[in-house]
Amino acid sequence: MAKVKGDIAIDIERCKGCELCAVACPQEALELSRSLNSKGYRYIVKVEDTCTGCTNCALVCPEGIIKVYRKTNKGKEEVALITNVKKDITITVKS
Amino acid sequence: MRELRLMKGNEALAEAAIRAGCDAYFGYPITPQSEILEYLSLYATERTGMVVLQAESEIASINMVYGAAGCGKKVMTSSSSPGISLMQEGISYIACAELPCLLVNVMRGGPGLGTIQPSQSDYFQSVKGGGHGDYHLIVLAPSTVQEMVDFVPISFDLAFKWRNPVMIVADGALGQMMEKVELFEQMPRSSTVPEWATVGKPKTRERNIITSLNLEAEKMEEHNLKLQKKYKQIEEQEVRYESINCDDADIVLVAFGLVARICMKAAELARDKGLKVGVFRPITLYPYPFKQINKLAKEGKRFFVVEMNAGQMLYDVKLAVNGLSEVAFHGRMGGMIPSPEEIVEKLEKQYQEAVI
Amino acid sequence: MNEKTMTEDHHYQQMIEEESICLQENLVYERPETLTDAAFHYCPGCGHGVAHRIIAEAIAELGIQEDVIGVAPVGCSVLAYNYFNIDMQEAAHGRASAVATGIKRVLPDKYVFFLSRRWRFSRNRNWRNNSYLQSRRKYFDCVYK
Repeated sequence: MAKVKGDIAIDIERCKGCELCAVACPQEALELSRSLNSKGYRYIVKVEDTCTGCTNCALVCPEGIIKVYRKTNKGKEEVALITNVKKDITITVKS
Repeated sequence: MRELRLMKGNEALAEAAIRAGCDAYFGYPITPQSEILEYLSLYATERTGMVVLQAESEIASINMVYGAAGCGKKVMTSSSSPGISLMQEGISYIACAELPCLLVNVMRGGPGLGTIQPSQSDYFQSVKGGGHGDYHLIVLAPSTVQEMVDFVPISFDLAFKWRNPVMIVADGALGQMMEKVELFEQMPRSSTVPEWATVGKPKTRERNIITSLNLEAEKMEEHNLKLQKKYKQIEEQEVRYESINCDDADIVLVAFGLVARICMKAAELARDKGLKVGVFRPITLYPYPFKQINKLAKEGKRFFVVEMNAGQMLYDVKLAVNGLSEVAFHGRMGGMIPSPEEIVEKLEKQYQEAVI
Repeated sequence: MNEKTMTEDHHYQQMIEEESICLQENLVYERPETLTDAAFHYCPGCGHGVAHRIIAEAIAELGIQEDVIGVAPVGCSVLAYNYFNIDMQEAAHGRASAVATGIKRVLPDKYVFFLSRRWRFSRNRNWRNNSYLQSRRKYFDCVYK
């Protein structure tokens, strides 16, 4: 099973603390910070390390200030080779 | 090869629009100018591919003109007095956003729903404002059906030269009467795109924005000053008028549009009676020929303004004369047209000492 | 394998794990380039921002940035032309559909959209349905929210 690890970058100066991303995040990894940005809003910060890069937060963000990164650690490649269709179906696992 | 035709004023104007390479007409029918829309919808699209659209209202028309003018196209609309009233907001927007377009007002008796007969009672509306804010339209007043034709390409040229809306003010009689006209040759539709037009932002330039909004007062004042500077230049360069027999005249009849022609006949009749009468016809109502009238006033001439309204251009004449001479007025309202004899009679009454 | 090498390998392994994921090659989503850098002035959580972003994403995805003209209405999104990196026009109150019709009619090959509130298609309530219906009749792309 390929492991997907994600990360987000939020422009905290533009964040207005609407928390739509916090609600949308399936990992519940986002919360409002305790501190304020220069506009006086509490901005969103990532509190858990469980981001999968699903982009839910970025898609709901009304300010469009979330960048989403996703890295898949690819495991062994599993390729199914069908060599003989009519009679036997031989599946070879190549790694 | 001259092309001569006997045409109705409205239809002649529409024919001129097609020949001038107009790109689009958005309008709404209203007597006495519905023939413009009708003529264009019959012939325009198949001849030049011009867009002709009857909008759902005059307000929609003028906003469509705004949108299309923002794309740098030659667009026009036409209406009559009540319809032009509806368009005023849109006209103000077009003037502020500095967009070129042609507006045609075939004036009818008012105020209110009024009559369908001719009048000239929209002088204030066209020249002094109409819409809100400090802006001006360039206003041309034809007095013959030939001028209805000739002014269309001139108006488009002025509109694009100054990036300002131009209005042709005719009246119901001029729109409906038939006269011989010489039509100019078909001009090709322009493919030049002005650099300010919104046509889709290519990579080579910043985005173009057509707007009349500016929430910062300093910037809005700057914009207003820019507009005023433009109007000053228009006032210096675009004045047009016609002066007939004014050199030796004692009394000058001042009139515009159709009434000027009536005054020309009245002047002839007056001359037959021994009165030395000339006719001064402003062709551009904005910019108004103040200097020329002032010069006539300094020469000691007296003025008799004739209009089909309660006295609107009268005030511009008084401004031009600036107290140097007498200014009298005769007007008919509600759709009534003065006759030459009537004008001579009023003239004689006014200036009794001039009668031999 | 001596101890030192083991430590180096282990250290390197740790470095790989702690390496930032926020690299350009891992980027899966960012603000579309069809929006300008201007910060939206809308209220926190307002749908205007989402709608602007979605429209901008659509323009970017369709590749029509050079062929689209937008019309901004009067209302909260009156300054929409500050946010979209495309040619735009400002409409009078309630007349965005008419302005957009004018543009589409003279530039039939371009994409035209306008923003409006449903009931604000025309300021005069009598024209409310009329203007909207008329604009639908003219077959152009329109967006409303």
